[in-house]
Amino acid sequence: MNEMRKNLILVALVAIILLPFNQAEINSDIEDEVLSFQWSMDFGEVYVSTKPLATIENIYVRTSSSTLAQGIASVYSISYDGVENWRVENSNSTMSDLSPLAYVESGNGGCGEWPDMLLVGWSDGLFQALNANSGEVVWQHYTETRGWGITGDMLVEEETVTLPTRNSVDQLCLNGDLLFSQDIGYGWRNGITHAAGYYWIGDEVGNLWSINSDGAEYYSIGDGKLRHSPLHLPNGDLLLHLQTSSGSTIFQFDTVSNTATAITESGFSPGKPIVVDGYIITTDSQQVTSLNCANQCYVVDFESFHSNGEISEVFGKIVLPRNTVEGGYGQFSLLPNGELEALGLATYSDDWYGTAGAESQIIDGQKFLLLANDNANLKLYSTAAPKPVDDDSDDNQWATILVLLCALFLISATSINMLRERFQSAFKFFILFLTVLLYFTLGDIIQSWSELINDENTKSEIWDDEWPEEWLGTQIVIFEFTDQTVVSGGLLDYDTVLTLTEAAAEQQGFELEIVDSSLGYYVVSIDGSAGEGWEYSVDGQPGVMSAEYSTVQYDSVISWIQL
Amino acid sequence: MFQSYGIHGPVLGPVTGLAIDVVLLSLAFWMLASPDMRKPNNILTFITLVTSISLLRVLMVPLPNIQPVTVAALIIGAQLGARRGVAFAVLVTMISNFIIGDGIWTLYQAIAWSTVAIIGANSNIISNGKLALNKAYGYAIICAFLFDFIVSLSVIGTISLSEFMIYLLNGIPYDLLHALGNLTVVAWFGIWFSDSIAHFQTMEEIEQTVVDGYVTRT
Repeated sequence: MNEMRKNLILVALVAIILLPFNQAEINSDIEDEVLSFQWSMDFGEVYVSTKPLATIENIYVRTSSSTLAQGIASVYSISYDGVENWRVENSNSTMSDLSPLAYVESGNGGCGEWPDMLLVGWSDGLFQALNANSGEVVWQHYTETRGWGITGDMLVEEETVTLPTRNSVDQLCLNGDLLFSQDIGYGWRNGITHAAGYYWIGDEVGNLWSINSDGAEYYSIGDGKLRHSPLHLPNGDLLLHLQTSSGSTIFQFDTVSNTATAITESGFSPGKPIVVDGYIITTDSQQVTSLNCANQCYVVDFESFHSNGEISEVFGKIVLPRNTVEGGYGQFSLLPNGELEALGLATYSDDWYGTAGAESQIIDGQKFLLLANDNANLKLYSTAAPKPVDDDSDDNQWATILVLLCALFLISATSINMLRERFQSAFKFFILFLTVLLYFTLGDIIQSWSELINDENTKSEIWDDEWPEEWLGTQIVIFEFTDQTVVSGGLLDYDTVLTLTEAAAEQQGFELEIVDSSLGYYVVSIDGSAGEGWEYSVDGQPGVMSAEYSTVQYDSVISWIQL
Repeated sequence: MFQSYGIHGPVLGPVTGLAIDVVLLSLAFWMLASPDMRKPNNILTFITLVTSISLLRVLMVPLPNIQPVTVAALIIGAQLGARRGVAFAVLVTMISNFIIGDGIWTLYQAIAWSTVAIIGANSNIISNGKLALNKAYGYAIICAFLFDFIVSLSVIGTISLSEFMIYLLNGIPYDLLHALGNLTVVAWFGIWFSDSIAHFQTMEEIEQTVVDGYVTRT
């Protein structure tokens, strides 16, 4: 009995340790596909309150600042390599810049034409259309402020942008021409939605406004604040998440009868709801909720979580920033029946308060993930770049066909000569066939042979705590010169010691001198330094074959030691 | 494998490298110092032989451990004798390594191929002026392993005996490829190459006979 009790306690301890919210990072939706850290960019003592925007070519992110002493509110354009393309500052914008950025592709319409643009609404009321490639101002529009200016989501349509100002809704052609401006109630983080021929927006006193070029009309929803874009439901209604003094209430607004129906009560400070697979996902300080609004909305499921900002759909998962001092990102899966499944909390070393959603992008099969929170540290993660299947497969196909044809010819020639009892000729063709076969399989044979004859030693613990945490799970190369040690990390997807070393050398600006001896490639010098020679080890184990045949893992540490 | 832990061999400084090159070159020309090699035709022919095999070796660098020089040294040693075989081996090593890459291994390669040439000179692979293929196959396999072993000796002194044994064992796939490559070269080009060298030797013998005859008459 005592033994059983001990076992039960042990099981309970293990169960407690293995809590549902286990520590992990956001991963891809495909097994074995890892989102690896690439780079981070620290913007200083400012905030990032709205999610970065990723296009095929660049990344755009905005920072906000409460005081100039902390920093100047800015918009950045950054390449996927982590290089800043341009930066636009606004020293007048000293309230929280929460209005999400919008990217517009070049085009033309009835009112003119425009280039690729990044649309920015500042908290000082200035609205700018910046050239997406250069950051230059294409056009700008001044709006009225009272305390603050533009803080909500703008709506970009085919030829127009409709933006919420402090107390109006302005619609402009994408060439900058003002089409109309309608006064509404004061708003904050209130965005625009277009439905049933009208533009809809909430205000700080619980009114829902419907606007068009002819005028504006409002409907009282309740005693509270509407601080997000009304969500256009599949059935044509609007979903509103009203912030109240006791928490929040979710409403369904009928755009035909202009009446609101309360669906459910929820927590404080609601975030921005989204539609995922036909279901509505809302969030607040209390929970994440999924609703079915095919007809009359009803709650399907909810999970406890604290998030007040943007909800994102990232590679098949629902991801929300946790707006607490501990930070992190809640991950949920939406089941086909609308139920939510908690997948755990993704944590990072710089976790803190945050409302900015996670941005994801897929470019040529390679997945990218961008994260930023109120620490204003932008991080990029990505999967490995997929090999160009079409090119490689075509080349590989032809090479394989050619080799197979050669092999077939040689075997046939051997057989024919054997049948004709011309044994010398048969041997000629056979030996050529064997040589070709061995040549093409040499790498695999060497690897297998090495595994067969060498001891499987325990991998040495060679991680250095002084290395950046971002290097965890990446390939690292250490160059130990006689007078200094240089370490190169964060490398990914190299298969052999030689290619990994070449990449690390290039990263450090080292020149490698390599010669081909009869027993393999020989590194004569690194960065012009030869000494008595160089030797390498992989994960603390001495290499036992030529560097071009010695394979490495995704997290191998190679050490080159100069003698 | 040179890059393995401790298995690298010493790196030559410029002075040491130059000294070794001078020694090898001197050895080669000393081996070639014989009356019949003073004739321009003979010299040119020999140079052509050395150059072509060196070039062939350079061209076959992308094919790891396919060493046509081994078979060439074996046959030249068998046809032209040990002295010319050694000279051939040394010159081909130096010229081809000048392009591919020079180092301590040059010395060991030269020694190894010279040994192959000497073995060829003392073997019976040439019978009635013709290459005996079966014997040539056997010697080709042996010389492949022998060559690789001699070159592996370059790491002696930097590793222990047990590490050296492991080093040799790890090299067996390379040795196999070398042996197969030798067999292929012998099978496809052995007879043709041997006959070419035999023609060269035959011409020399005729010239020598004529000279001897002239000397006798006078």
